[in-house]
Amino acid sequence: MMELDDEALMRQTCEGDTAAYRMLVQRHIHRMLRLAQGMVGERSDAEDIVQEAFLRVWVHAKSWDATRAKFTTWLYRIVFNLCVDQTRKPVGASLDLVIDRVDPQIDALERIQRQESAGQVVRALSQLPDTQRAAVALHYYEGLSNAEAAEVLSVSIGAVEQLLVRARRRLKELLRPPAAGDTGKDEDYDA
Amino acid sequence: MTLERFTQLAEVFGSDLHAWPEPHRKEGLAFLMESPDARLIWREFQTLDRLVQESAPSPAADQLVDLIVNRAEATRQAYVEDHRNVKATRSLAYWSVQAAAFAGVFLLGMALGLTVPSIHFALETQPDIVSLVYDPTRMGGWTP
Repeated sequence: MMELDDEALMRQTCEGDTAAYRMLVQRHIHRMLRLAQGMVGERSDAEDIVQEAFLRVWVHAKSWDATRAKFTTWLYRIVFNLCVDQTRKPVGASLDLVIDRVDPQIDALERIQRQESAGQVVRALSQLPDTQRAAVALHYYEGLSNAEAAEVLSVSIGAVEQLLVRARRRLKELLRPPAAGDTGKDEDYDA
Repeated sequence: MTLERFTQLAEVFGSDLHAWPEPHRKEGLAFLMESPDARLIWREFQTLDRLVQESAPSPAADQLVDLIVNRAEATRQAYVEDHRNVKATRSLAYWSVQAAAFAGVFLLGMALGLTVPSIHFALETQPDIVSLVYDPTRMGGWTP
């Protein structure tokens, strides 16, 4: 069972095999949660979205066509679409999500600084349009290439590049403290 | 390469020059070595990339996996229950129609059964006509 690829697991899931389904969930839940949380900000909302996405996989397993898209691409699309629906509702960015990411080995001051800067990034991300946020999450959190991200977002590679360009420009603006002016130094972001 | 071009490429591909497409990577690396301004720009993007990567959410808890699988199983149970209920409802409707049809036919038969003898009896209640037609003694005793 451990060696089965996504396609084999999906075939078994279609037949109602919950063990295969559990393996699929375990295999992909972290990356789906990263994408969802990167897009909606709130941890609880992201978990709801991921639950809903995997439930759709369970219910509509037979609708997945292996010849048209990889399972991960299909799943990313489900999560992305659910996130877009969710972000139409007014939500605020949460700082809770970044607390657990901080390395416990670093000293307290550094930890606070990192939490603050991560919190600023989360707030800045929440101000980006859905597609830019998705492009950032897929690129930075998932490590997807621009071609892979384009497939998930159903856009061209050039469009993904433009989304990342706009997102990076906007993030630079948002993360630059007003008091620091336009010096453009590293400490602008670390503040 | 110009500083503007270097900045554009950094905006598209990020600070990791190894991720830049081959024709741009070589140029970019050379420009980075020779231009202090390019290094300043590059460090900005490097910091931005690091900050965004550090803001990545923490992994999902194991309980979330259990919750999802349990919900899926519950959904299947609900589906099976629904399917069973639908089958039961359809079966009930089928037999109700059958029973109603049978009852209708039965009642119609009863009605017909009551109506036909009543006609017969109605004829019998007119002895003059009946006897005129069927009584052979009267026929035999009749003289014009």
